Amino acid sequence: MEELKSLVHSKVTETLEETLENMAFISIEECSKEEASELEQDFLGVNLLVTEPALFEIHLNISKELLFQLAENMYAMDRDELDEQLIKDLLAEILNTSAGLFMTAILPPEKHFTLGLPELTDGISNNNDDAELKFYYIAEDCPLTVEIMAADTDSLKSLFNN
Amino acid sequence: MKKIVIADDSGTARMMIKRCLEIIGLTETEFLEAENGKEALTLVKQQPVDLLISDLNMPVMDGETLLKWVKASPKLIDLPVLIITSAGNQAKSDQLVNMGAFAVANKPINPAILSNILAPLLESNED
Repeated sequence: MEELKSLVHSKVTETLEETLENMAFISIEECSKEEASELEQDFLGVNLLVTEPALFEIHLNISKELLFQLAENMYAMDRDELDEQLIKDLLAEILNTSAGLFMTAILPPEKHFTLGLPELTDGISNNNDDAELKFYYIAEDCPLTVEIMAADTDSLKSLFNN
Repeated sequence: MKKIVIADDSGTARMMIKRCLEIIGLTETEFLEAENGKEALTLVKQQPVDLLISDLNMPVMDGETLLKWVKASPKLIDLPVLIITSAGNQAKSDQLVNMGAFAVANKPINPAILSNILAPLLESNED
């Protein structure tokens, strides 16, 4: 499990970094669960199902404060002009883009993959602090987390053997 | 280019594509936005359009189905279709190009990527 965790962690970090830098010129840093929880901020969550070549789900939670900062950068708008719908749409697109990059990074080029549509949650998506494949980050002093859940970790592991 | 249809269920993605196109010089272009393939198909049937840019994963009608409809229509067959997707790799790109897509780009996009891809179309528009 530790080997899988380390492989997934490195690819998740790489793809999330590329997504946020490209979309909003914001960089991320890895952090511990404790460091992330010290920041005590409200989160918005989204999840996305990968259906092929293995079935697993990716959960992304980003602090509302960070989403507003990202949106201010990207839309060149003041905070009072930004609404919740726009923030949620941005969150969904971040996960959609990161998930595609993640799958492209772990699979050989000839291998197909299928992503579902991002599903927003009312608050935090899958708040399971003990999950094995949960990774913590900080950007602009705000926390974000990524969790990968697979019913069958062997099928997830097999993707990294390609 | 006078008119470009951008189909993506994400408003953020449509905004990013539009901004990249403006940065590469398409400031005089009218951008028509669609939230799914069905809306995009209606738009391209209603009026002459120079380029259709579409995502793949969309509700109601996905980008692949939209591409099939466009390439099956004698009136629309010559319309260049650029697919911009997060769900693409080399195998998917080859498949879409074989179906008639002008090109396929992976998200996240930036102005340099779009400029390279669209260079042949922009040059032919200048002639």
